[in-house]
Amino acid sequence: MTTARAYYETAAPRVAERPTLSELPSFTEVYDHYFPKVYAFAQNRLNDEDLALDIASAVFEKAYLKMGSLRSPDSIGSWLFAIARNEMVTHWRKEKPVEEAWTQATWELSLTSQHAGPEERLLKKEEAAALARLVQQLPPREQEVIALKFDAELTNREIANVLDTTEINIRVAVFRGLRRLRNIIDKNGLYQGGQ
Amino acid sequence: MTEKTKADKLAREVDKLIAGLEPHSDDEEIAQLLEVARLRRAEALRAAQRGSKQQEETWKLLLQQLRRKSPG
Repeated sequence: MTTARAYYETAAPRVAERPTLSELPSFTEVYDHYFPKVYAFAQNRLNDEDLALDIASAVFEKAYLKMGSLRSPDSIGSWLFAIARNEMVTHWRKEKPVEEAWTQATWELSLTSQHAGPEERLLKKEEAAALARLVQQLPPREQEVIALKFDAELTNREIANVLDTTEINIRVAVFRGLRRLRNIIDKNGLYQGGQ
Repeated sequence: MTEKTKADKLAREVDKLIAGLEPHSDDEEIAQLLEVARLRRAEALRAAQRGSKQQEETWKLLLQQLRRKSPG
């Protein structure tokens, strides 16, 4: 992201004046490190790449505007994903019926239009689509904990902070979520309902 | 082994997996759950890779939005 950083430093001096960053990681460092994780978190929760980009962009816009209120660099992961979580909750509240329809349409398209490309790539895409569909069968809380663990790569303590619970509860939620997912795969196969 | 004990052991191995280390368990159920975790981890990495490809373009758009919100 050297190019992006250079762009930031030369093209946006006025915005850089807004937050106080003296004891915190620079915004560009936060962006560089967390953007792929925020995107992955949103993409795997929404199953929509364009929407995930919109959400990720909104998360970093809010993060930038609020960064002066972040007290400790140690809490930046949980702080950022709390913003991400709020963005998605806001989205679901506003758009749920449309989002559900669009998600379904996206699934149908992704599972029927992948004619070109190496077989291995196709299998990986189908595998990912099938897995995402199975994950959606988990209780919402377990879906969220698993996304914060695997996509956001937060520690159990950070996840506990985001969800306002205990680390023990997070460990048990990950265990139960993965066990439930294993049971679904054992019962129906990975490609259940996907082809 | 209680559920909490298993959850603790699984959590340690999942953290290894996410750190890029090789997880392992002699417990049959935990080993099975680690296979599911590998699958989910692979999907997380694929999604993050897709995000990385959009990172720079999104950064430029984000800067435009921030500049519009910072007049003067």
